[in-house]
Amino acid sequence: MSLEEPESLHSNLPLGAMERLSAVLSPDEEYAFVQIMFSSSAAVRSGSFGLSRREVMKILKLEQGDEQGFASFVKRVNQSVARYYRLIYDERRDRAVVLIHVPARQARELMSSESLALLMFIFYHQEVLQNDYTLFTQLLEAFGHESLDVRRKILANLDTLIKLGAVSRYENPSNEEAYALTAIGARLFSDSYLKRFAEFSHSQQLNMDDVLKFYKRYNLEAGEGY
Amino acid sequence: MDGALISIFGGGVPEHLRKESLRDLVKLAGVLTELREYFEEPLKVLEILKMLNLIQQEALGLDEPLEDADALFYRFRNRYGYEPGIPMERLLNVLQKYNWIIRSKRRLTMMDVGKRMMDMLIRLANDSLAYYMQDDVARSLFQARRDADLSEAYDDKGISGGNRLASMIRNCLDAVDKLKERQLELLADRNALPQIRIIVDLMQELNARMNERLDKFTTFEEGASFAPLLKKGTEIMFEGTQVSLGTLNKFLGFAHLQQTEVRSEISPQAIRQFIIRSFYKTADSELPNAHEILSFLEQDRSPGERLDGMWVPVQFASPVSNLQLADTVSYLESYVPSTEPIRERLEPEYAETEEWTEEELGTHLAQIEWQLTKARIRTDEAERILRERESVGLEQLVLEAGSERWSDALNALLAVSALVGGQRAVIERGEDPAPDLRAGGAQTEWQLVNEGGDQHVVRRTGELAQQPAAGGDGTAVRGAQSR
Repeated sequence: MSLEEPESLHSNLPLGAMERLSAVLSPDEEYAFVQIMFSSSAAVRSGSFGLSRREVMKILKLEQGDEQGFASFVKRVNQSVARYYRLIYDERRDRAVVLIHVPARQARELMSSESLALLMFIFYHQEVLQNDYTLFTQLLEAFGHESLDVRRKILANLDTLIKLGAVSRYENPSNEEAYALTAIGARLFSDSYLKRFAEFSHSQQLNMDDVLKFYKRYNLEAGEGY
Repeated sequence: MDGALISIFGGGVPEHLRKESLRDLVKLAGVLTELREYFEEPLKVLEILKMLNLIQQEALGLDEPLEDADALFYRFRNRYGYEPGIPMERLLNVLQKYNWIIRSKRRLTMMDVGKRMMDMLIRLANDSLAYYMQDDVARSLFQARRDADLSEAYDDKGISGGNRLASMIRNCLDAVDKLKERQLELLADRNALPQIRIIVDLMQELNARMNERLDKFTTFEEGASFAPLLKKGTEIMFEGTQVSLGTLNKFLGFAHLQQTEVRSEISPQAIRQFIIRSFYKTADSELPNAHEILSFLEQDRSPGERLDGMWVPVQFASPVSNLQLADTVSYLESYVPSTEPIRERLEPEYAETEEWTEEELGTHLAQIEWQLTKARIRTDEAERILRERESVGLEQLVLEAGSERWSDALNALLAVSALVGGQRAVIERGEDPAPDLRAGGAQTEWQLVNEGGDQHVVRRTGELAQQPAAGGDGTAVRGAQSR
């Protein structure tokens, strides 16, 4: 890695961002942020990571109806550490989670290419086409016409996504196998990735703004999860 | 190509020729051994090679004849601009000893063996140099290409080059594996184009040559046994071509993308199709999959892309203590699999019981008793004297076994009585058969009381314990020289 840009230096030391937190957060808020960060780890609490809004409010000593206070906390954390961290609140699953910004090289090692393709499909299906969930049969239809044993392959890659918390099983009345994108899944792809992805699909350059509009990303800023 | 290649491992080689050719290697080993200290450091090896090169050039008629060590020394200094650190005399002597050169009064002459061995050494060094000049993907490809060259130079001329084809396929396999590993890195490097081009060119050249080689082998009479090898070769070349071309196309595709017009409308259809395409391995298309796109981000074409890979939940590993880590590491480092066979329990060995007759039993008991007696009384001296002489006068015996001292005489007398008790001697009346004059004249502190002036003689009867003979080895020296 060249050290041309100061950011690249900091990106290797993401914890350096913590220094700035005390300027914008009260001790209680700082405490809450660190708690959320630690509980975001799937290794600590398997299955459901992150904290519920209720738990966060308790640490912040907020009244249980104080939406404003909670939103302001999320907003201020994100303003101060946005380059390296992102505090998001997933309303559907009632989870506050901290995401970390991973450089492209390390990102390659997190998931297989197939998992990413699968997530991209679900992401497109739910964020762009505004579906509430994606049926397993829809995945099969999309990916199942070219390779053998595709069912097992899709299930294995879905499992990775579920473990990471990007996708969750969706309980629906008809009891079909269905999956819903979580707040984590909705934010997993970086803007740069989405832009390059769209460019390759069109074999032409595109504007970042157009791409973000297409993926309905423009309303995601600051008040994460609202 | 006919079946019988000339090979040292072949069955039909006349024994004397095989020996002759292997003796060449013995000579090579000899030279290497005697000049060992010069073959232990790269720079010294280089100096030796330079020296050999000079001798060789002269032998080929490229240089003036060399007279002696001095001529070689000065030629070296002129050619390379510094003085060699190797004693010329010694080098030439060693070379002469192993018949690489012959030194006459006015000329160094290279022998055939020397020519071939020097050729080989210098070629070996050059081969290594060419190998190390490549990067690691190209290295295996380069080796494969050398294999093809060698196969042409040797196998086609009826001399075995040593399974070149298999080696070539193996090297291609390695190259393709490495290329697959490094593909993402190459895509992530903005300046990798020349490198990728080299690999593609090598791969294509190799593909052509591999096919040429394979064709040779298909017409081979034992072609059937080569079938799996040929199949493998074809497959690996196909894959290699695909992967290298795919890498090149993707790289160029991305570079080309930077040159295109910026368009503003996005077609969901195109996005959807590309999502589905990216689920599959795309070795041959110029469209990348997810990992390859991430590699392109690494090129950092638009500033900051490199950092903007993904957003992932923070994952803390559950803590592991240092102690556990250290234990685990040391366990892994010192782990030795038990390969010894399981030891069987040793059965105690019981001695066979022996049967003795009463008589034998008696002798054994007497033997034991005698040993006990001997443990208390020193009978050695008395026994020694009795072994020398059948019978000795009592007084004489006591004097010789003991001394003039009273206490010694008493001990000697005790020994005599022990011998008598152990039935190894008897005391009889009689004259001393060989009276020693000293006995009479000796000043002793003691005197034997002779009742009635009788003389007593001690005579040997039983077996006297022989001193164990020093182990003279019974094996005769049998080193019959077979000459």
